[in-house]
Amino acid sequence: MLRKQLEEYYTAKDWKSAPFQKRVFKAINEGKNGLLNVPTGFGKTNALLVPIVLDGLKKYDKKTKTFAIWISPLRALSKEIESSAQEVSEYYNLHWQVASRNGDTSPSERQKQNRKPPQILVTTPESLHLMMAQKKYKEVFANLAYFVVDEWHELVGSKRGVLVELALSRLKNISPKMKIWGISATIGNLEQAEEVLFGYTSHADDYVRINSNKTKKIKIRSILPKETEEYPWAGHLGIKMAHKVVPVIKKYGSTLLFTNTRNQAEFWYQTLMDIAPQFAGQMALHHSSINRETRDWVENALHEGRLKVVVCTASLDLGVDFRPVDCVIQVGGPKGVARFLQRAGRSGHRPDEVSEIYFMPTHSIELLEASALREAVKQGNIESRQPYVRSFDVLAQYMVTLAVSQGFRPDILLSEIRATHCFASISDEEFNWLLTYITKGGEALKAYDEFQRVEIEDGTYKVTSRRIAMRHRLSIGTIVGNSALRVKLMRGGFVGTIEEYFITKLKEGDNFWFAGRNLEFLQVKGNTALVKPSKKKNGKVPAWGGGRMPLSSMLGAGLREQLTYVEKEDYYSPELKSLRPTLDRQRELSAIPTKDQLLIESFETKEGYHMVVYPFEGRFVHEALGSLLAYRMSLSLPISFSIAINDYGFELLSDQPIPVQEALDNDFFSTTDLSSDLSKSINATEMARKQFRDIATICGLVFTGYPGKYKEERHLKANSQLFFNVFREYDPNNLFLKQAYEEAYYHQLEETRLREVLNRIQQMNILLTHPEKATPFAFPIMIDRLRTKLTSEKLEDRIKKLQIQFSK
Amino acid sequence: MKITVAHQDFILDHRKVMYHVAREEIIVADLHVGKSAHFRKAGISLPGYSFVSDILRFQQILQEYQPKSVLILGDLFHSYENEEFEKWNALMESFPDIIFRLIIGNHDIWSIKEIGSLQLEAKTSLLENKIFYSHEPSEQADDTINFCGHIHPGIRLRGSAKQGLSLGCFWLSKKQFVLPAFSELTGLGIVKPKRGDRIFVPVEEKVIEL
Repeated sequence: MLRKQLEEYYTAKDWKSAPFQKRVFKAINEGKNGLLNVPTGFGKTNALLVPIVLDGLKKYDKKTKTFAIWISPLRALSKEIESSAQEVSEYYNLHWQVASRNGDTSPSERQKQNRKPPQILVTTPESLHLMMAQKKYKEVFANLAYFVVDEWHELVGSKRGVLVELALSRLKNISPKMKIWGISATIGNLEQAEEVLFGYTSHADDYVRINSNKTKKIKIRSILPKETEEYPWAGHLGIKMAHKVVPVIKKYGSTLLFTNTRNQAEFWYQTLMDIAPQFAGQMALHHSSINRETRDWVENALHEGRLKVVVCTASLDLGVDFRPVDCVIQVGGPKGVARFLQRAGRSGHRPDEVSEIYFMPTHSIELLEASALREAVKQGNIESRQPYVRSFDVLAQYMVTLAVSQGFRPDILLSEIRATHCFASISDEEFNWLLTYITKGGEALKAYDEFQRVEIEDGTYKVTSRRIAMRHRLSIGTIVGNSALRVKLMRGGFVGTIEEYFITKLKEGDNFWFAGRNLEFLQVKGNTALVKPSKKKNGKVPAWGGGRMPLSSMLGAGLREQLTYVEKEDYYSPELKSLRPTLDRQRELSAIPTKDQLLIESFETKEGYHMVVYPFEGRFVHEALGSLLAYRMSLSLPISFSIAINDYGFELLSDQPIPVQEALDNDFFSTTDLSSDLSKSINATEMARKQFRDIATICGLVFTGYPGKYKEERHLKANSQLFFNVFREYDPNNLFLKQAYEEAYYHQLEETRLREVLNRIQQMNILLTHPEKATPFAFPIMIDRLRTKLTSEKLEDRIKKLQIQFSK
Repeated sequence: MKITVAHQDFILDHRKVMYHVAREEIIVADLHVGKSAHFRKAGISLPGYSFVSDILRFQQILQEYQPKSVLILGDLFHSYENEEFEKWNALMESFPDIIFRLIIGNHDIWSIKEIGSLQLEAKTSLLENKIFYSHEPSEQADDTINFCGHIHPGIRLRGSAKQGLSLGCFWLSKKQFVLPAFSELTGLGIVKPKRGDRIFVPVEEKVIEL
């Protein structure tokens, strides 16, 4: 009978139900948990929604408050899910409340939801935790039947995934009959993603994975220079070739042009305005620092097909489907197969349409990436997303969250969290340390009452102070932003947010480009920078922090594969053909390495002595490898290095000859003493310090302030760093400090990957060349300005070699 | 390192203080006592980490030189905070024979009442033997040189192969002698000296001239 109702709904909607949708229906009817592995645009939302609502027809009763929770990582997505759910419940005359709750939800709407909880709640991991900080959360969730996590592949590799794990660990206890469903695109470690989602409880014994057996068809093309033109050898903006994208945009109905950074997006938008004025009025800019309303407008306009081209960043990687979009342009190497596919999938959103993506390299060597990407897509190779483990900062936050609402008992909590993937290995000592931290502030901070947040009453851990409770609610979440100022027009209207350090460099009357507009800076008032529109042509473009992703090891292997073709003079793809003059030049000056060779170039310029190594393993690994090599060489003689990196290789630069041959003879790429050499060569402390900034905010050491109350961050930016120093000196066993180092090693340094790379290098032949000048491969690395330094010379000797910068 | 300015001898110490030989006086600028406490007030606390190491360093200097007096060129306190203020007071009391003199700096304004309760002589500036001591740099007549702090001078050095360094320094120009900030917690204000200026930097256990 239910089956019939399902068919009925699909018929009424004039849809054809796909086989996987029937399988989901069956699994839900059998009371199973599951993971739905379907690419976007194939009807995954309805595949779960309809059977859940139908199950509600059967099961829902007066005792139940919220029947299903739908977690979506993006606020923008919730609207769509909300309206689908509304439609389904209306169709079956259920009169259910469907509501979304996230950072955009108004206080009055929240109040309403608190009084009368909606049957279907669409929310984010953060908002769910906020609800768990409320007194009545247990009653609201007591008869929860379904917990659905959408876009699990996006959450699983982040601390937001840990929030989901923790919320689940509690909800499983409150409503034992709850079923868990995940929706995920394909990733390299889908099985592990399932392990993380279901945890180590009975749910894990009773789940199904449902694949759609559908793959999206993708057409990849590179925008190649004409024979007479040449790509620049270096650069990251790609502006020089901008005129090449105009005909592409013209050819299609609606195009998304993805860049890798916000700064680059601003440049591109500006350039397109200049060179393609015919798109004015149909062109928009979208990135995460632009005002919410403007972004909503852009998204709506895209949805309705009113825009010809939108220049955007990762801000549009996810989100609502924009049916009118029929073309995607990727500027610069996407650095990973998964991200490339994700972006490609933004065009041709309907199940049987083809996704079309154009790749626009910013310098010539990136063309190799395009060729490698096509190969990887063909073979179905996709990267994994590494889940976070032992994120004690998130756990500390969660413990206070529970203490704020109904309080917790340590023994119950410990058994719950031990059933999660993240905290399966937490020891009794570690757990007790955290209890001490939330009650007393821990060893170094016990003298300060603001860290005594939680009290113990008859074995229950509770927060009694209203002030502490409020401060905590304001701090829930794991996304830590940079200090940003709001940019406001003098005559009213917000433009967006810009990092404080950029604004501090501006003087009154300076103009800058932001959100695609030329603005004149007037003054800063509190947390707002006042501006007015400007007609000047030139201006600075702000840069925002936020790390760039390193080249994935999968794509790195692809690049080495491509070079192997080149070495054999097999220019099989259009990219390789187009790149041939540059590759010939490389071959002529130095060599092309095959996949079992490691190319090292050693040469001298007027800058100094260079040693350039090409492992093709991404910037993080290169940073570590460069420092390691520099350190090992610096042991045998006093020498100073400046180290430059990119995703393809690294360069050591010195003012004295570099003992390259000696380094090779002494096996400086070996893994012997790797950990200890590494900790001496890279500034692990500095890296950990960076990680600690987020940790300190998440675990509640640093309070980022009440909304609307601005704190001068320049003054206080040092906070987390000062804590870091204090812990290092007085409390070296501090769990958060250890976590910072662990995160630095695993996520920033990618130590595991580094070890694999070194082992691989052991098996490779070294190809050492002495080119007479910088090669096409070396050039993009040498212009890197963010260099790290390593020295074994005495400070006094170094000073002797340096010159004072006198004023002119 | 020994230098002579305005016919008076000074010893520059690598711990970012200097010693007036004839007067047997330690001259220091920008101690910023209580800067960590200032953070605490703003909602984040720190045990008196930097203060502890700064004050220990200063105590050692006093024990070593056994000066008759100490002259502070402003910004003794970052902002007023009881606890660290008390620690500073205790330090002064443990050297009862030393006279402490303070040139009031911009940060000291916040704690001017508390400074009044300390056993020290506070002034806005001081002219002694053709040297004008102030917190912020100030223009002086031709025969007078200005000793000051406030800037936290740092020098940037560059060399071949993209090598570079920034170091806190003593900066002696024709009309001015700027002392480095004593506190470890402060940043550097990078200065661009003119040719003919003298720059002294602390390097490990000594001070060298560039």
